[in-house]
Amino acid sequence: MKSTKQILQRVGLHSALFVIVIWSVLPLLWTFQTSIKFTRDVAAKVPVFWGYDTTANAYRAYWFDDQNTNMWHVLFALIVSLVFTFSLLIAGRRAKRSWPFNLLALVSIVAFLSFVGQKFETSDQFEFLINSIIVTVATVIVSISIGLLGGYGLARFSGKSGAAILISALAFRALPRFSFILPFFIIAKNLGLLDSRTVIVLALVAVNQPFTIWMLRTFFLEVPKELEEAAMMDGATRIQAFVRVVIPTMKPGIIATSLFTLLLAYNEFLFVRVLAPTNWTLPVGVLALAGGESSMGITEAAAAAVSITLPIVVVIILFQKHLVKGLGSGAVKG
Amino acid sequence: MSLVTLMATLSHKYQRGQEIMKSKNSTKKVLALIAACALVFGACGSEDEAAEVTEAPAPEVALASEECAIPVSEEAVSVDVMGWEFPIITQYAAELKECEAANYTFNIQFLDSAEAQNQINLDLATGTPSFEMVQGSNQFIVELAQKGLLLPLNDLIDKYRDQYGLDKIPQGMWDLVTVDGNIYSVPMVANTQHVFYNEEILTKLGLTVPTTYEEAIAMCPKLIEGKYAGFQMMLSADWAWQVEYDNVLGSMGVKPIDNTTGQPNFNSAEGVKAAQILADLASKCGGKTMGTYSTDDVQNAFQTGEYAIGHLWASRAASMDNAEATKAEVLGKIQFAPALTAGTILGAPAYVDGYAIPAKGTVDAEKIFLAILAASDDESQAAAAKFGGVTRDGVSNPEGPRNGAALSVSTSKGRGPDQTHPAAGIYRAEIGKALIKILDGVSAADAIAAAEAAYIKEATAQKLLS
Amino acid sequence: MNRKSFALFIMPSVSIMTFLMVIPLVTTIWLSFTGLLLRDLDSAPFVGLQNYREVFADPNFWRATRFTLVFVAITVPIEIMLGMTFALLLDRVQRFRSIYLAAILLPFIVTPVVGTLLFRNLFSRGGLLSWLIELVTGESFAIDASNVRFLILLHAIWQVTPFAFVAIFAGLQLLPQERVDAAAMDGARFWSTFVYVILPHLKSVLFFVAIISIMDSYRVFDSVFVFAGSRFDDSHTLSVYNSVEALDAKIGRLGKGHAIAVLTIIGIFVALIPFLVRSYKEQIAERT
Repeated sequence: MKSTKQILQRVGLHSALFVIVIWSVLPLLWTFQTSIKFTRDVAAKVPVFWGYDTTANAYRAYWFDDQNTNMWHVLFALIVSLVFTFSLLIAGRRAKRSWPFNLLALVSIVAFLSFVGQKFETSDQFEFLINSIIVTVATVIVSISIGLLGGYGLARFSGKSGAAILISALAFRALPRFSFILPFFIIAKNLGLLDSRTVIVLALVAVNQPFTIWMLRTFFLEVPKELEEAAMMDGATRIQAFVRVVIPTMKPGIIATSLFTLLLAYNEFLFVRVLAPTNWTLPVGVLALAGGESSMGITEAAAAAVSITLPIVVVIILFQKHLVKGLGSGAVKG
Repeated sequence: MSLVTLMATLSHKYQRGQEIMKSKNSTKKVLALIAACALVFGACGSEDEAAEVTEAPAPEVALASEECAIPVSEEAVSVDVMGWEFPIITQYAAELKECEAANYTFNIQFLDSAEAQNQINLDLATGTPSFEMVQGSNQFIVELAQKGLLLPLNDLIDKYRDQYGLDKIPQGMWDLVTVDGNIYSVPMVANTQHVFYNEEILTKLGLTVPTTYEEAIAMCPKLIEGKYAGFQMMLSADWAWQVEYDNVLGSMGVKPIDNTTGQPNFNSAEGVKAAQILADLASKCGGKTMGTYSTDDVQNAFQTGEYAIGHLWASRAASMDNAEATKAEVLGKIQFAPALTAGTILGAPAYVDGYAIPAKGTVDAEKIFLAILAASDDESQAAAAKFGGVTRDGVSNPEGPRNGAALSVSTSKGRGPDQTHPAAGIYRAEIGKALIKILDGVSAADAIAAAEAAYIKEATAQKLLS
Repeated sequence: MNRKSFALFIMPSVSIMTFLMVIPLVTTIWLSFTGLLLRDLDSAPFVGLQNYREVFADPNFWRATRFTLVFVAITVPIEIMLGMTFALLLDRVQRFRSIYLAAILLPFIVTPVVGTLLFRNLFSRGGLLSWLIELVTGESFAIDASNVRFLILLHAIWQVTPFAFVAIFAGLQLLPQERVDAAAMDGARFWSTFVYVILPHLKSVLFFVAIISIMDSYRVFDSVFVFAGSRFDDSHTLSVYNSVEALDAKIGRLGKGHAIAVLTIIGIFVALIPFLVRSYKEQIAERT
């Protein structure tokens, strides 16, 4: 039996944490509530908390061109594909080899998106979603691949030039976006890459390198040297040892770093706005609704905000343990 | 015209001609004779024309659909559009998208007006524009045209004038998008600002609709007493201050800068008086909302009964009858009146909006122009008329907004369009930036003086004053 | 690992950083000495220090610098203190931990542009907090010049605290529970445990969080750009001021914009040099 004091302490702790949760989540909750109301209830001076008619109009206006799209159909398709994807992921976790299931889950997400794209008359925001996904995935893959090599080198090499590179990388991370934008613009224009997803991916990979190699290096430092030395003594080259022996142990570190890269790429605004004027990603698309001069105004902006946030929130919830672990290692050793 | 087509047309016409000749109706015969002659002469003269375009509506060329009455394009045409959105523009965007039936794909992007103008300027300035079409108001289109960034459309307009009834758009509107004889856009939206008011609230408070700025300011104490906002304007952005300032000054009969030399006129007694009127409106009527509400906010304020009377864009009138966005007790109560005045001219601008084509684009301009034509034809404008003022004579929509009278009076008796002197863009930027500081306590006279100094400095640096 | 292997491994990373960071940086510095204008991208005449003189004479620059410094000075300490508090609280509970964690992380995950809109929504017309404020103060509330700075700072704290929180929390997980228990058994109360056991353990985490936070808040752009827009241009931070001077069609002075960028970089490094030197020394010490 806990003492009264202990119970009060517990209650106090959880209450405090509850308040913190509210502080963190309130804007999203309030905006979600805004997104399902009619404009007449949103714009009232005194907020309407309950008893209002709900509507999916805002979401329909944001995602679809055809104003008669049946949102129930959309919801149904969404639920079906989510259930399918998750069952694939869980099956993957149960089975020994998870990668075919993970791959299938990915394929099913892509299939769902193209199904929606064709069956329903989607708006241009849908194209922006596709752009966001492509840019994010490409950035993560390229960034991590290059970063793995660099991080490993920096972890194993003990010369001074390694330290110099690390500190320079840190210094580069401190630079404001504007030091790069116009030169990137000029380079992209001369290479004919302007207004393409490629240039965005390149820009993001470059700007993200410092952080990536720092983080991956920290994880590599936790892998004992003996591991690859043993493999090399068995006749493997360093690269083979690297790929076959070291990388598999790095899975948590790779996931943690990928999450941060994912976050950076998904949320990028300025680069996309200047370097890819017609190939917008979702964050830039939402800017149109931020100025208070649009057609549907506040409810559509709210629907946009919720729609953009949801995917990334789901991803992070699934992988939060890795995020914590990643920062822990990076921070303590860093 | 290819030889085969020519032969086919002639033989068909010949057969038809035979039928007509046989008919008893002599008028028909005469007309047919004239038509035959015209056809022969016309056909002989058009050897050089491109194969795609036919003179008369010939059955060989397939129009994409009812909604998109242009020829289906052989190659896919990808069009990226940038503009700023308000209700009627959303409808025109939908009209554009109907041309996806003609093998076009559209990517229509919007930003708010200031950011969209920045984006377009940036994109067109690079020399390799990413956007194939830009949408803007006449003031913006003229600015771009003066910088040489837009394609003159005279030839294309002449070519399709008859087929798409371009003469139905009044000459006055074409003039608004013409610079040195070159036309740069096809006007599709007619917009202005005028008074919106809630009839019920005004009657309840025993107030009448004002016609001058003084009357408007005078009615504010009673409105505020009755727990409503005073006479409101949207003044939370610097461009908004510029438009309203030009309204007030224009209603006194004064042009802000000289049309030939570009020298500023606005730092004068009238100029300062005009700024003072706006300052008084802000301090005596504005409350907390005049400097903070966006256009959408002002619209919503009318729709929820927070505002009783104010000055708003005509394009927002249709939304006052929107049952989803307007509170039940306000629905149908919003009425419209002409803009205010400080003299004899009404303080209302004249804007037309339309699509324009960048000068250095890579996609075939004719194809883009056809899409513009499809989006601004009779059928499209009739659909758009539900949301605001359109440009074609005689086109209207029974479900359209009820502000037709206020709109036409304000436009015809108003202060007219923004000036087109090359330095006018600089004036507009500087006056807006300076006047919005009135909200932060700067006096009207100081703001005007600061605007004049900044304007002269920048216009001289760009060598635009004479 | 020998030098040759190291060079091979590090090459892709270093090449990318050289071509896409060093060279652009040099270009930026060079462009800051030209009179490049947005409306005439073809001519970049050399103008020497004129851009810098213009920047120093521009009152907007000093206003933006002041606000940026205030921004950093207020956001970083508060963020660390709040993050520490949240982390210590969460460390004490086991139940619902992942739910709490996910919820507290939310502001950091949300796209900054979107997060600004979400936050602004609470304070604009019909917003929950603007209504509450009106109830409390009895006056109508609107976002205007008097409160926009406070709101920008509040939003910044809201958005960045989770980063400090999760880093400190992760660091706390690595603190062996025995040490805390030992201190408690020695009769130490919470405050002493905190100062003598927890803080020393978290030293490197705090250092890490401080350096990253200072860097990031100095460069903040997205949220201030959306919040302040063009209406509140005296609440612009350096990067927003930079973007307006360079990319706004009404001004479009790219040469000056690059001068501002260079000055921003100098400013950051003045603040960071001590940290960088210390990091370098640590790295060298680790290797010997």
